[in-house]
Amino acid sequence: MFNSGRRQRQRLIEHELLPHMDSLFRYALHLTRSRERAEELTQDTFTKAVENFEKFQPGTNGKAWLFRIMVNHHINLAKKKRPEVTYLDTVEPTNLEAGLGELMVRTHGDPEDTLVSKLAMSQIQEAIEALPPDFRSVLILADLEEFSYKEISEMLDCPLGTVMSRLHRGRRILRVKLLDLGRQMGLVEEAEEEVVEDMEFGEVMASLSEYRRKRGSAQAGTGSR
Amino acid sequence: MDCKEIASYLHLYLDGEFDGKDSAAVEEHLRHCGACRAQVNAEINFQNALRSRMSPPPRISDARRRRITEAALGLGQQRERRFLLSWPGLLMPAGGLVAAAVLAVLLMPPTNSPEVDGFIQETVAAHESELPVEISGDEASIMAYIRARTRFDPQPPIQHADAKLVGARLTRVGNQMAVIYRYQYKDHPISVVQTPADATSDDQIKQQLVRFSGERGGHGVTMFENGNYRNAAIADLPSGELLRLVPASY
Repeated sequence: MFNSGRRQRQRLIEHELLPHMDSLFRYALHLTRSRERAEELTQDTFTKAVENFEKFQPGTNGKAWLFRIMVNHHINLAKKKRPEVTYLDTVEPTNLEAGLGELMVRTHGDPEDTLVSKLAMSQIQEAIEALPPDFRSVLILADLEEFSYKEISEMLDCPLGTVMSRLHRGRRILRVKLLDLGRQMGLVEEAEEEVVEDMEFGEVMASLSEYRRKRGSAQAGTGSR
Repeated sequence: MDCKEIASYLHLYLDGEFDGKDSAAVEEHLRHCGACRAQVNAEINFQNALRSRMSPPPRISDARRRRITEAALGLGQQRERRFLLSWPGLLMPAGGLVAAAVLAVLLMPPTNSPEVDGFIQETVAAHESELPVEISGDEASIMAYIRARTRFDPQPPIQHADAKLVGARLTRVGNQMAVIYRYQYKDHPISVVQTPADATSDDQIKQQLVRFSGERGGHGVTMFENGNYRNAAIADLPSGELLRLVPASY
């Protein structure tokens, strides 16, 4: 039949690559911080992906493949312009090790009501944008784009352990920032008592599996320590 | 595993990145430690709340999306265009042969109306599902069968010496009744989906508008309409070749 190989290729591109355009664009926005440059970066990524399409293995993660292409392309562009500023490990985890319990905020006695839901989306967005770039990248890839640690490590070409620590610290820094913001806005009741609810083990497991389901992490076991 | 370790590896555990053995160790600890259970729960609530506040995600602009899609699918040379085919005569003789000349080709900005897209998608789906025809035979018997079963007055969409009508079936497109015509052209089957056009002014009867000509899903597609009918022809042919069959159709 007429060009059946070509049609097959088109179908694969249509189903495996094109659906990820908005995700790529979002990440490009984060990399470039400019709408126009993000659109160009997204377009370049697809151009490269189509040129190298024979290297793509159908059935593997097309999204991760595209992200890798984009990250590499972005790094190459950045190298041409000016030396890259690395923020890696330059941020001290100041009061971050104080323990997660400290960061839980209980407002007006409703245990489910966290500070986050009281903040505007734009404020949260700004807090994420203000994270050091290396932490921000990992946090966005893990929490917004829902890649596994292993995929992120391949994408950013850094060891799995680095992904883990950046994500852990990035999340903590974000929490501290949000907490500070909440304090400034008077959303946090100071000198509150540490109310520790006693949760049943079963309840915790149930909310955990719901959390993982939402995150789409059928990725259990892809990582190791 | 102690409380300190749990705190250090909490995210790994939550994100499902631990293997079974490590997960079991965490859970064994959680069974006995209310403080860590509370932390796990607090962290889940926090992450859930955060994620629900991280949307709505920005989307790439429609114009750029179209450019990327066309380039990726190799449709770059076949941007959607509007061709205006005008008729030498004022009236379109039903079922007659008119050697129509392409008087003007209007290259308008690519129009990608949902209406056109939707119709083309339906056409691609109809073509790919390779539904059997309900009636086959010569043109007269096919048209008689179709006309007896439709409320509009269907006309054979292609009239070209090389394209022979071999069958048809009734279907629906959206909520409209439609006819799928099956032609044989050289070695290629051509499907044409036809529906009655929306009520439009009489002027449009005088001209036939090609609303789209290009490739979709790897097939050549040409969508054309006049005041009476909307048609989309689809075949495993370059759309240019398909388009050549169309102006001489009526």
